[in-house]
Amino acid sequence: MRSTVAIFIKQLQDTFKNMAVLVQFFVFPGMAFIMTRFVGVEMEGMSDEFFISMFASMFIGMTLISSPAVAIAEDRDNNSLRFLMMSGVKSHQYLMGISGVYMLCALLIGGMFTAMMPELLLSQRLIILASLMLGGVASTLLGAIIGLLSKNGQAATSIGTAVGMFLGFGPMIGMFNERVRRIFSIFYTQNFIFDDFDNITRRLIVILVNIAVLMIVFMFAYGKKRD
Amino acid sequence: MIKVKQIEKSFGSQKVLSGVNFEVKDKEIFGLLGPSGAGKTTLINILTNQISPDAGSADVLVTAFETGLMLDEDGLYMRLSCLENLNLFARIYGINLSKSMEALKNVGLESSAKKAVSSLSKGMRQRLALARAILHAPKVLFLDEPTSGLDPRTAQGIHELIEGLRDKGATIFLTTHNMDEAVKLCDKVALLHKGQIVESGEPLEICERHNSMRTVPDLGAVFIKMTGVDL
Ligand SMILES: Nc1ncnc2c1ncn2[C@@H]1O[C@H](COP(=O)(O)OP(=O)(O)OP(=O)(O)O)[C@@H](O)[C@H]1O
Ligand SMILES: [Mg+2]
Repeated sequence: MRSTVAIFIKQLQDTFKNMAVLVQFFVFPGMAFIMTRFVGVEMEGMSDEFFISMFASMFIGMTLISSPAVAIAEDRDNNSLRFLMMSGVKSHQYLMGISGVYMLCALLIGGMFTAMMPELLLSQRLIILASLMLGGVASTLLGAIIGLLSKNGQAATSIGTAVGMFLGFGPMIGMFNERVRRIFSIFYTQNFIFDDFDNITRRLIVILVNIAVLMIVFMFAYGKKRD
Repeated sequence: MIKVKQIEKSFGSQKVLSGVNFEVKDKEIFGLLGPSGAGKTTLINILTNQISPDAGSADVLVTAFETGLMLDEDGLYMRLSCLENLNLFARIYGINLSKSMEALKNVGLESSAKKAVSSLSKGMRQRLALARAILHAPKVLFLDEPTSGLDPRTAQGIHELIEGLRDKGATIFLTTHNMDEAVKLCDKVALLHKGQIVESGEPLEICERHNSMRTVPDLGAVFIKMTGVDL
């Protein structure tokens, strides 16, 4: 526990000093806000949720995959992971500490997104946040898998970005294309709940299945890297 | 404190260590000397359980927690400050965070405590790596070329620090290719060449044995005499 907290604090400090990551954290909610306020209002028949759901999916699907992937690969790269292991930190404590930071980010940034939809009931707000948080779990797992398996920080960045593009942009394209929408309905990034409150159970189940699958892949990757 | 018996290690077809034996006593500064590629780092990695030998045994008679480590790569967090780097390990060890500042003072970095590692010079990073190694007052310290690439004054400071730690009861195992450093600093040295220890003992005694006192004790000349290779 002590080690997990130590890693969590380190990762939090590091994130706040990493402009490349920090910018991403604010760009997506910022874009959502601007688009909703200044573009959305001028477009006929466009709901407030359109841009918010789009950018929230992109944030969870992109930033929350690439950030942990790069963080883990960087730690391996510059040998700091070696010193942690030598001082008795277990790999699962390390991964929990790192993931904790990104879960916190999912919560905070998710909260910013829901705050942009003022007409929501508190219960609806919590449901949205819950779906985003679960998505954060899935993304962080995926990011950790990429971080564990890639050769170095650069590889992690490019793989993380590619996977993030796929999962983050897919749902947006799906808004205009029925076929893409159907394909992406099996991925968690298209199943966040923003206004579809009639299908809460189905959507949450899809996300949970995603998490379960990723968990299995993660265990595999983790077992392989256990040196 | 450290017992090494018949250690062998190959990487692929390259035999790096072929039957290395030595012993390090309690509270001594032990220097492992050898040219680049001799296998010094490999031996430290074996002693700290990071890799396992093909044959032989390496016993370090303390727990992992009681060892401090300074490797050839510093593994510092570039974006974090000196203090934050040390605090991370203080938290992991469960020791008071005030120890971090203490360690920084010991290596003369207290005025850079809040600076990001990325803005430090090589020598400062090396001192920070040393501060991290001594943070939890370990009983055994492994230092891989602690002064390589440092200016003489900084190196001298590190020597004094290492001697101070020994006087407080720590056992220190270090590697170097600096002969003067070995003569001045080490209580015992071992010369590693072609995967074996070709000579070991107290530095001055080794020099005497090889009539290599000249005006000053010259361990470098002994090395050349034994191996035909300069460091
Ligand atoms: N992981 C590895 N895989 C393959 N070869 C290795 C590995 N580690 C070390 N070697 C080889 O083993 C030999 C000894 O390396 P080592 O790093 O132990 O030398 P060293 O004495 O520390 O040298 P230096 O003074 O330059 O630090 C070298 O020839 C190196 O190429
Ligand atoms: Mg070396």
